[in-house]
Amino acid sequence: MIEAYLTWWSGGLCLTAVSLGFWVLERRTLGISGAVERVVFWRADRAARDAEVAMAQGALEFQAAMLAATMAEFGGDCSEEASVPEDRRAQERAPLPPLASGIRPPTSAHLAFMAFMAVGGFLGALLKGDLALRTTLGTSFDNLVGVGAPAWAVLFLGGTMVGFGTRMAGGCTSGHGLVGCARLQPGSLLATVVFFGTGIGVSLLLGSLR
Amino acid sequence: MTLQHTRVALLGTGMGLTLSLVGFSDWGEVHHMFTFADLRLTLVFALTVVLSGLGFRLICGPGCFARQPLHKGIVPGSILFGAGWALTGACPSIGLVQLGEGRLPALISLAGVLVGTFAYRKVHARFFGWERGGCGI
Repeated sequence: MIEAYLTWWSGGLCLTAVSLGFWVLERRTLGISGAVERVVFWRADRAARDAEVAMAQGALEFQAAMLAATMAEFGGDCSEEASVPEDRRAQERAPLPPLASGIRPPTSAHLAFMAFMAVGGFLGALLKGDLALRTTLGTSFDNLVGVGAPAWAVLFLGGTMVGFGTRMAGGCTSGHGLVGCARLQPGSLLATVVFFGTGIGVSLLLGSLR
Repeated sequence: MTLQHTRVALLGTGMGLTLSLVGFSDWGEVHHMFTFADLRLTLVFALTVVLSGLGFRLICGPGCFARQPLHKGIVPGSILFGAGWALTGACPSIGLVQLGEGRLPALISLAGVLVGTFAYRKVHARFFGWERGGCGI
């Protein structure tokens, strides 16, 4: 085991920067399991996004048609009043943040986020000086869960429970645990108490079995 | 690569790097967190929640604190997730970080996560059908 981990406060500061940075840059809240679902069902996600884009474009065209019809009805006089000020036009041309525009991010953005999380892990291992291809999750895992095929079966089953459970609960450690709790969402507080409690129970059980 | 891809790439790298450097990707450290052998990761988690809460108050305001409804999936889903997290250490982002660090068994956990995610949507559509809410992505 490496003793060169960040202190609790510097780790907390860095994670806070990520969770708040995500809101500042993306105008949506951090959530990994939701991103995983969008990637798994990428075809449905792409279709939904196409529909949202068409809807947004339709609204702009509708607005333009209404303005043209109004001008046709009441003459060109109202064009000055009705015309949108130049600075607002510039604002509308600028790419809007996803939430404000009502258009979801493309599936590839979720995929990029997930891929670069692995890049972050790679850089972390490089900095810690323990980058290596390993066929085990560590000695504690080998001692408590096992090695070889039985351990792989536990990993696959456990992973399935993580995928199924996070989507059933509507969030994971990031969406419910970090961001949901920070936003004092009752559902997130409940989810966090339950998944932490179950994690504690299962871990204590693992320890007592060996 | 658009601007948005560059932004999420930076955020993803920052998150993966932090989780790696703080030890969340180490199965033994997560086990120590769950068995109260070491409170460091618990404190990382708690500090992030408190600081993010203050941050959301400042930069987002009451909009971020509007109550979202509870749904029937929260408790059973979180039980499954908590058990799976304790077994694999994948939460699920940690699985990606483990993979980046060269820990190959994470591939099996991640395969499970994909299968579970796929299965839930099918099961949900067939049997449950309640409003899932979600974490707002």
